Amino acid sequence: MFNPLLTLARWLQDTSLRLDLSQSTWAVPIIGAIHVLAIAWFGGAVLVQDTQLRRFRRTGISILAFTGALLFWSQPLRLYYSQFFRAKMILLVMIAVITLLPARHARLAMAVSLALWAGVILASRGIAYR
Amino acid sequence: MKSRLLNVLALVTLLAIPVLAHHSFTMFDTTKQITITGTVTSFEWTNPHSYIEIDVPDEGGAVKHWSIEMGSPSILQQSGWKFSSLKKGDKTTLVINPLKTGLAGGFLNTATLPTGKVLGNGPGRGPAK
Repeated sequence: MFNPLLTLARWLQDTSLRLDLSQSTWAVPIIGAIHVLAIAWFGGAVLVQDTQLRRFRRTGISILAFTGALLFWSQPLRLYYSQFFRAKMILLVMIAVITLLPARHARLAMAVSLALWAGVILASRGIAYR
Repeated sequence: MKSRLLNVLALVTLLAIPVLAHHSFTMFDTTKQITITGTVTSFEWTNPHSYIEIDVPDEGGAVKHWSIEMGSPSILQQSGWKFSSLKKGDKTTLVINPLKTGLAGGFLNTATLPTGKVLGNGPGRGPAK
């Protein structure tokens, strides 16, 4: 059966960027550190209800997505098979759905979203171990 | 009330990101040490962990493939490793902590390179640089 995600992971695994990223001594540690910093940046900005912070949030989530993509690229096949990585991606999809739905119960949506974000971070820690 | 919930969530979030990710080494039996000698099939100089893939013949001549895990390149450099320290076809002798499962894998303690040089696996494992 054709599996587009596995096909993508296999293709990324064979790119020269995957080798460059994973064989560089400091690329992955530095990108990982920026990723964690961006979590704090973005997390801090979402906890404060202030429209002024919108650009701040956007910058944070962009850095998260960009560094996250590079980290995935550095070991695509291992992450594809990681149960915690799968859980993290499912949680992120759920957050995206909640965020894009019309805000009928704003406070409830925010509480659920925050809980899901906590789950994302916990799952991320798990990736290191399985 | 609401701010207390947020405080708890923020605390959980902070506790969840203590350090950058590496998996633990609990799958290896650190009370046991074995020595294997064989031919390197590949040397993976990669983050977050590096690997020596090696074919090891037994007394009967049957070859078994072993995957030996090491620290990150930045850790290995502290023991004098380089990306070019081993290459395919090199003969090497490795002292390892084997996998608890008994499968053909382990965590490196020291490696004897073809040059005769003995390298450890980061600070505290094997000879210092």
